[in-house]
Amino acid sequence: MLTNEKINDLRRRVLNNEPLDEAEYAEAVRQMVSERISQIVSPAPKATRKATTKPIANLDALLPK
Amino acid sequence: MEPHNREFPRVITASLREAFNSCHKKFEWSQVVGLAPKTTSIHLTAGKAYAAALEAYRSIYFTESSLSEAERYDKAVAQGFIALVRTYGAEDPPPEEKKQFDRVVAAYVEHLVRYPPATEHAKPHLLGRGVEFSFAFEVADLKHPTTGDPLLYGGRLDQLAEYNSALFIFDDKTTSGIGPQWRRQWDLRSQFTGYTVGMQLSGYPVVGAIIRGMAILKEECKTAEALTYRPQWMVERWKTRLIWDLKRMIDAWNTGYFPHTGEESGACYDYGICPFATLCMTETPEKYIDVYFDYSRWDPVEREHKK
Repeated sequence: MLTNEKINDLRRRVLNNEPLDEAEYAEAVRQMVSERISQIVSPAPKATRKATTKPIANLDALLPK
Repeated sequence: MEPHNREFPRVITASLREAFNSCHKKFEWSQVVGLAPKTTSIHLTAGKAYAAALEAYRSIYFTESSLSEAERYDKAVAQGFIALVRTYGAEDPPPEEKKQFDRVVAAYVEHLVRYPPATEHAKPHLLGRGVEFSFAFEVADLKHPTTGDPLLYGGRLDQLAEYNSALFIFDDKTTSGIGPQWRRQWDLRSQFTGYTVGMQLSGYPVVGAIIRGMAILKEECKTAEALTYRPQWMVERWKTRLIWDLKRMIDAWNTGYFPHTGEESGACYDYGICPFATLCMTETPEKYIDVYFDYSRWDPVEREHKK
């Protein structure tokens, strides 16, 4: 995963007018795009409310006796 | 107030007109006197950086036909990121601000994810040199109050876009939130009617505007798109009112009276607080000018602040 450290390192090099490897910047953006797509496709599970009902083993258990 | 290089703008833009109509005094401070706050708004910085990224990326992706699609994409997204960095700069805002550098980068990435260039539905209309367009036209029968030259209305737009076989203004907007009413606010927005007029007068049969919004939030970015038309009756109404507005601007210049109309319009507290509120809250604003402001006027032609 592209870290904030890495992004800020790329930032620093631009601002310091260091010679830039365009491919490196392209790769960084591609990686961020790819990570974002992964987040959209498989989002982290949200915290769920505590269950208020007990699960049952099978539906037959609901039939009147 | 002692005159300090007071000037009447030579080119009226949508922003100047908005400033005048929201508060005459704000217009005077920013344009006539030529004051700019010493501290830059993070909203402006973030917006400019995002816009710079998209302009660089689109200018390369949609014009460098000698490269393969993959080469174009790589070059475009790299240069977009570099333009973003250069425009945002080295200074980070206080930690409580949402529009930190990494969030603006996230907004750029979100744009690339949600609107991949290969499947872009609003294709840039190109002039052969980049995607940006600018225009200026003379406002009929109105002269600059000091030079006597024709008064100009001008603007610069992110791009023209082809969509559904028609030509649209295309504009990117950054925002702090996108709610259910976000799309509707552009239906009467003067900025886009003005752009429509400018581009029609330049020979481009623009029919409306597509506005793509990006909300830069702390944990996520949200995007939405609005499409709004500009029928001819709205265009004509805009032209009539432009003359009325400019006559009032010239009248204010000639009388020297720029009243605090923000006190009714609510402009004092738009986008947080007006940057000139400090001057309006005192009987002796001249004592505070040098403390909080620089003499620096935005030049829409050169696209830079000029001292």
